[in-house]
Amino acid sequence: MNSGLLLFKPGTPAAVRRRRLIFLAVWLTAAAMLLWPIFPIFSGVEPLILGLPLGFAWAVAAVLVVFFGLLWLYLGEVDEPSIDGEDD
Amino acid sequence: MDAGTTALVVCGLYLAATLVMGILPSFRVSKSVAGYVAADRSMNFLVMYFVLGASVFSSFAFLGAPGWAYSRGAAAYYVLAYGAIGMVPFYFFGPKARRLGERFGFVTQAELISHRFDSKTISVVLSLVSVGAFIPYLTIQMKGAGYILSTVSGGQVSQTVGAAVTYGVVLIYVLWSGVLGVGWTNTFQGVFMMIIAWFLGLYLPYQLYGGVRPMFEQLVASEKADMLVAPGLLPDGVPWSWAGFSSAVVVSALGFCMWPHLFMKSYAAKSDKILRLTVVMYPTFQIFLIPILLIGFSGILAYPGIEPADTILPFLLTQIDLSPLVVGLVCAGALAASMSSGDSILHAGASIGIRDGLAKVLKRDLNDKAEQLLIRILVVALAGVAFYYAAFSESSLVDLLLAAYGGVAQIFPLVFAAFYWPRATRQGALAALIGGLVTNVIFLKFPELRPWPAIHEGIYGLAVNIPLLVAVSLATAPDPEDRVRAFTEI
Repeated sequence: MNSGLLLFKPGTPAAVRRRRLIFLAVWLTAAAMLLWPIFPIFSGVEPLILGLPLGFAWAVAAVLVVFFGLLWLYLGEVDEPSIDGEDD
Repeated sequence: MDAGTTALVVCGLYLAATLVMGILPSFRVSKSVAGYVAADRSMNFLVMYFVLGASVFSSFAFLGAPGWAYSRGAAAYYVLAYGAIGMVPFYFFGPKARRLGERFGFVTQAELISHRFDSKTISVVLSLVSVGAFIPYLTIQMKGAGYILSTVSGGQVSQTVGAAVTYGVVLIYVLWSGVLGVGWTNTFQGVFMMIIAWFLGLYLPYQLYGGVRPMFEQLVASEKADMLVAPGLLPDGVPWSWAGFSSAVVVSALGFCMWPHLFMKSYAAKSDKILRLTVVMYPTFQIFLIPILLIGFSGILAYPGIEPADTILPFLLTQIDLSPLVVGLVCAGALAASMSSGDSILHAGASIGIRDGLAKVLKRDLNDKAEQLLIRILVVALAGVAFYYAAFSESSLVDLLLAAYGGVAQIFPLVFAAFYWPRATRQGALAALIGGLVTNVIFLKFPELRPWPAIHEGIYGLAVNIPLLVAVSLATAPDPEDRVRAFTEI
């Protein structure tokens, strides 16, 4: 039996694998934005961005990165019913 | 009619409306366990969206998050941070769990994990973790509801009576309708909460400072400016370390979609597409935390020294010039936050306790009717225990809840391995789960033993959990291939 990770079901198209791996990178980027050592760089108060302190706006930006990343992933998947044996 | 009575009447009308919303769906769902627990796997996007969103946004979000912003400043960004990244794994886990649920008839998280690892012990351990984690969570929701009704009535309704009335309503629709009742009330409550939060989050800074930007400009110019620098302050007022903030975000993010009441909603979704779209749209719910935090920030300069800090929202309501009708609506929004989490927890806790705990300990399958009856009995029992703590105990619930998050995060490696690591074995999973939980509890109870005191105990649990999962799995014979493939290739 394969002792490594099986991130994709056998037969998953290369384009789908690539798209999911790119999203994984986006997600990890968003996570890094909210953790040490990246967040401390943007943890201050000024400048105020849209009226919010820099650290607050930075955290909101990470939420938006996740949202648009997920949206991009989802829109690319709805036309590919074979993913994971999608049956709907 | 005086102001307090008007606001109380609004809350009463709100409770009545929630009751009707909760009971109506029972006429549309089958009387089976799959109907009661997983809504016959029929939830559409709108209901799923609000079930996921509203069951996460609890009394902690509506009362606790403004309290954090008010007393701990930028530490409140933590709430925004872990939710943003924590729901993403559900995009991948959710559809797999849904399909497995459809194929094997799972309606709880432990059923899925214990089937993959063929272990009733894992099922019982998970049921104990789940029910144990739910009680402090539920107690906090009840206390929140009691506090709101007590405040709005000017003390005419005691906190105990307030909690009893609110959760009496919750009990009726959870007993009557099961998860579909939870779904429709969460939809109703979710819309309501969003409107109230945005209204108050923009109105308070405008009323007190002339707007959001002027509010922060005045804060920056004040002696409180340091509060706004992330990662903010600890409850005792000293700066929070980046190690503490980052580790808390990681543990909470990993635990986020592992909460059993959230995870098991994947079985209720009508399709994979609906489940995925729900996760995609979830960050829009997260944005609703912006006005929630603004409410807390608005109190810092205008009303310093309010204790406890969690009461800042109701306190502000009593200080500003709002019509009693609006005050009533805001309080109803806070009640919605409490109820929409509490109902979900009650329903999930009882389903898990019976299906994954009692049935496995008794080593026999219960028939559908007996199971539903036992689930309903446990719903009442769980509500009773939580109510006892809410009404009569001052025990350290915050400690219990923090322990709960570290404990729930220990489920993540098992779920990940079930779907993506074919070589994971029963022995490895059991060693990982128990090792992680025990380590988490030891470092929670004896923080002086932690090598780095600032790091969240859940990280130490994971540091034991993951190596045990890998090492013990590799040292034991692989699990049967057909069972493994059913999970990794779905």
